[in-house]
Amino acid sequence: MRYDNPQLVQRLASEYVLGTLTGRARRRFESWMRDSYQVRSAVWHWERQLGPLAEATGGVQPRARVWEQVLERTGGKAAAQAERERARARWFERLGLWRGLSLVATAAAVVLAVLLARTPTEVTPQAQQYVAVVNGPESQPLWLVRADVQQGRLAIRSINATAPAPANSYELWILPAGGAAPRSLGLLPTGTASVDTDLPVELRSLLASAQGLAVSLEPAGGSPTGAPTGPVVYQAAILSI
Amino acid sequence: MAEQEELARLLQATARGDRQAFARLYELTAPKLLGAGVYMLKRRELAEDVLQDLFVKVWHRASEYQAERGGVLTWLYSVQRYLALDKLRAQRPTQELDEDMSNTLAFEGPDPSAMAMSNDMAARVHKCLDTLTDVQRRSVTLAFFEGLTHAELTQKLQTPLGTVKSWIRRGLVSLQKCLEQ
Repeated sequence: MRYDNPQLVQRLASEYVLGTLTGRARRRFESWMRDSYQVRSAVWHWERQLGPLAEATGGVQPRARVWEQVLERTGGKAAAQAERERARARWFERLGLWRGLSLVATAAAVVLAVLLARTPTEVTPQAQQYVAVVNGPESQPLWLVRADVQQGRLAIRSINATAPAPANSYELWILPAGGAAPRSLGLLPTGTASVDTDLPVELRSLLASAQGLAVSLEPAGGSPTGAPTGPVVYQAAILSI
Repeated sequence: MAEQEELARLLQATARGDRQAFARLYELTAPKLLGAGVYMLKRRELAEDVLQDLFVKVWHRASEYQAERGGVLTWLYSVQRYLALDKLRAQRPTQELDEDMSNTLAFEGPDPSAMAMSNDMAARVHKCLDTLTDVQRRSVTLAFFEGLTHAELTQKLQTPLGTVKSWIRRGLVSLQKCLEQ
């Protein structure tokens, strides 16, 4: 094989990338590529040279079924389903715990109560606790939000939410009833982080009647204006428990 | 470029099996890729099949990407072009080129405003394409955007095979020289 003829390698690589090297010659060149770094490197060189041309063709939005089939073929549907079920199971456990603690005084519940000593264990007659699950595009949970009005605490847990680009932060907003301006609940943690913070007094009363929560993409550190400035990327309903 | 960095980060996360990053990578790049695919394959169904194959491949082989192959988007365009070329070659022997097919698409081809927005490298390639002779430029771009073979170019340009081959060869050499400056 004539890898040692750089001009020939360059010419074949350029025609390979362009697509005019066809049939057997193309297959033969592919086996050269597997054998020789020099040949691969010439191909990559031409991919970098010609690739930017493709950008000139503009965009066409694919139909939803394309992504669905990609998911199907990569095992993503099963994975999303399993993750949803796991999340639901975790969630039911917690709901059961919150509701059951004052009613069931089994040894197990006492142990759990001790473990949860830092969290309120009394369930008051009126809804004082709110939860929301912010789901991603495939309905996978990204964040769990829990607000305790009585204690004035807000806890947000990220379930492997991917961090935005370094120049951005995700910010959580409460959408008050009647279409009033959104109010910030702070920045969202990502990865496996959580935040536990004070729930400002003026926001506590908004929760009961709020339309829901929204997540917007803001500059790093949060909205500079106090109102959402970036696109709303997720929304979630608020449930009282 | 912030977008390049974000795509690189998403691809790395995809290589580690992060499905959320994979979904985001698709969201950000699929429309651009499909634009190029439709232009080449002329039929949306075929282009969507290729796009699907591409992303299945990306999921399994994200770790094979190397910076030497250019930015992530350039790499995706390249891999998609190879898949599209295989598809074209597989069906063209039995299917004559249909000049009317492109008219059935609501798609006008390379969009000048997209050219203006694309990065420096794209601008350089376009500038260098202008240094080619008309016939060289026409044969190189037809091969690139529509995936035509030498034989198909011969038919389309009504020119003998040897001439078409030399237009392409000289066109690529001139392009290379200009890009190296």
